Amino acid sequence: MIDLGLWAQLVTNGLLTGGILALMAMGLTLVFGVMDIVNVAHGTYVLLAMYLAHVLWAFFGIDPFVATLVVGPVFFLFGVVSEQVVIKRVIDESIAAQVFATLGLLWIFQNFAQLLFGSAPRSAGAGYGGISVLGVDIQEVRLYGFVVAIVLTGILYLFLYRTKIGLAIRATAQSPTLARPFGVNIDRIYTLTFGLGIGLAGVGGSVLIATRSVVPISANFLLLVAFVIVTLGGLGSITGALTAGLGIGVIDSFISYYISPSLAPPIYFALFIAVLILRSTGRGTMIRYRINQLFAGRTGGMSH
Amino acid sequence: MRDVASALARPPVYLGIALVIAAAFLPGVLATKWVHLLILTYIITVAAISWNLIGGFGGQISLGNSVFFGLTGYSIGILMVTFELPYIVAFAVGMVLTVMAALVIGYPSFKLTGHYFALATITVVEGMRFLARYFRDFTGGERGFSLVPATVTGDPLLNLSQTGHYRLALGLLVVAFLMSVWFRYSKIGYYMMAIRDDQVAASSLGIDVPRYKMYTWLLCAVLTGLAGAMYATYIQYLDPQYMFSVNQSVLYAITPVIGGAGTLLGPIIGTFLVFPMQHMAITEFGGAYGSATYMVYGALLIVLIVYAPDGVLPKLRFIGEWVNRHAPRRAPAESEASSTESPPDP
Repeated sequence: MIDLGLWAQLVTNGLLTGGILALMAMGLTLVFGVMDIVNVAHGTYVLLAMYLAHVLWAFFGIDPFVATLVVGPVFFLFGVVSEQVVIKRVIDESIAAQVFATLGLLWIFQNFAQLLFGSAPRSAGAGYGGISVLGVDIQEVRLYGFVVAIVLTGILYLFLYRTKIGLAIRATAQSPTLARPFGVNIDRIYTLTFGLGIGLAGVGGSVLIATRSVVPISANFLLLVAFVIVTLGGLGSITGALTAGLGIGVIDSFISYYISPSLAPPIYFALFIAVLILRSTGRGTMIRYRINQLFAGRTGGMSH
Repeated sequence: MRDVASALARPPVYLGIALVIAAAFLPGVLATKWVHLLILTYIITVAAISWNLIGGFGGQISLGNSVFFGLTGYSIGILMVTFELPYIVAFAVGMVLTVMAALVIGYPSFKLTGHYFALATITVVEGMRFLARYFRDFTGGERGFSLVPATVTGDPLLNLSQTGHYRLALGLLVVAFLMSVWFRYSKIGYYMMAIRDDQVAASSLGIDVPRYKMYTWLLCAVLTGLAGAMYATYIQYLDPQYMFSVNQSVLYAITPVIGGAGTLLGPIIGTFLVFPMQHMAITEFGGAYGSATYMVYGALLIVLIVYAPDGVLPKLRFIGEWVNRHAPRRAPAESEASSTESPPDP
């Protein structure tokens, strides 16, 4: 029998967690979509942001949500510097070169965190309570994280679709060779995009540390979840990343409750591979076409 | 017979054989600690050599080879301890499972190209780690899995002395290297290099791309599985964090790239450059220094990718030339003839 109260609780938890995961993945989708580079180090940027927010909380008593105002800009600069030092040199190289160069960054960052903080879990439990809405318990900290995610998605969307720089970024994503003659400085757009992507990773990291603890090895899992969300949501799609993140959150919440928390990742990893393959072989498009046909058949009279 | 003789007369060949024979007697000279380090290095080298088949010669960046390593290791452990089967049966089942896993992973994944292939393979490893945790009744979960009960029942391979394990690992390394030499000069090897350089062109020339990718992938899986079996046999303790580790998977891929991807000696040089130093830093000075050395390797990797994408090996070519010039060889006329016949040095 379906327990509605329980399901409402599970869905709410899932949506709130998923929003925060989406926030973390949003930077990756921006970089992936615009620069067409697989940043394997994205998870470690989030990791370092989590540690920075932890330090701000542990030593200066700064709340993780307030810390986003510091960590975000710092990571924007961090991203700009990384782009200038490393990414710029491999952007025109083979995929292997891109993967291995960012793997190098991953090794540096992850072991830097290991060197400074060791393997003990770190967190920043800022002591938020819970509220209850219509019998559903909501952790305040997840709610605030979710709100930050939604607001940032909105801002990013407006930035990409309502400003001139946003237009230049979207043009570069579509075709760098065509954007250049229209006066777009591709190199600067790449730097800006990477900075923005890492800045978002920074915000995502400092929100994430409010909800869960971190060890250096977490970076691998964070990276893969981010990739799953980005791929399911469609490359470069900000709103797609948000919906995919929410979906993953809900799946995770249900599997964790009904079966086991350690079975949730294998299931959505399998989903991820399935989607990748459906998309690459064009079967996904065909299935969608069939479904559309099915509906067209059913509502045939109505559509005309 | 004459082919064998002329092949043996080439300096790299007989010097290599001499080196292996000398290496086989190292445990008599070295302390236990160093022999242990060498065994681990040989195991990683085997995994690196097998990555080099699919990644170096084939250009398919797999970051999922840990799956085969872990699967064979766990099969041997679980079948020997829980089901009390003899080693050879456990090993055979492990190999069959590895091949099956390679088919299941490879068949869909090879529809993907470039970074999507890398992403799909890396998620398989992380997924397997979570599965190993979920089926804790079988795998021991986070606590790991010990093969010591099987040692007590007296299996000859598990009860080998350290020197025995050392020679086993060395033998495995030699086998893996010979396999990669065969692969390099076989039809599949040339096909894979053509696919790496231009998949569309290779396909249009009539090469059955998915089939040869799959053959290479299976060979790679079997060799990595052998490395995993060797690890389980020697260490006799399986930790999901290590057996199904993304970081190990990345290590198997990065060492050939540092040494020189798509060359025969690249994976060996890369592993011997990276692994012993890092392992020593951890065991001698504690984890913090291990992390520091890994950071240095990360930076080294980036510098290599940017300034010397072919790896370290081409920079060491002068050693090979020096050896060729100064090492004794057969009469000039004959060696001339043999060198034109035989393929160029790797």
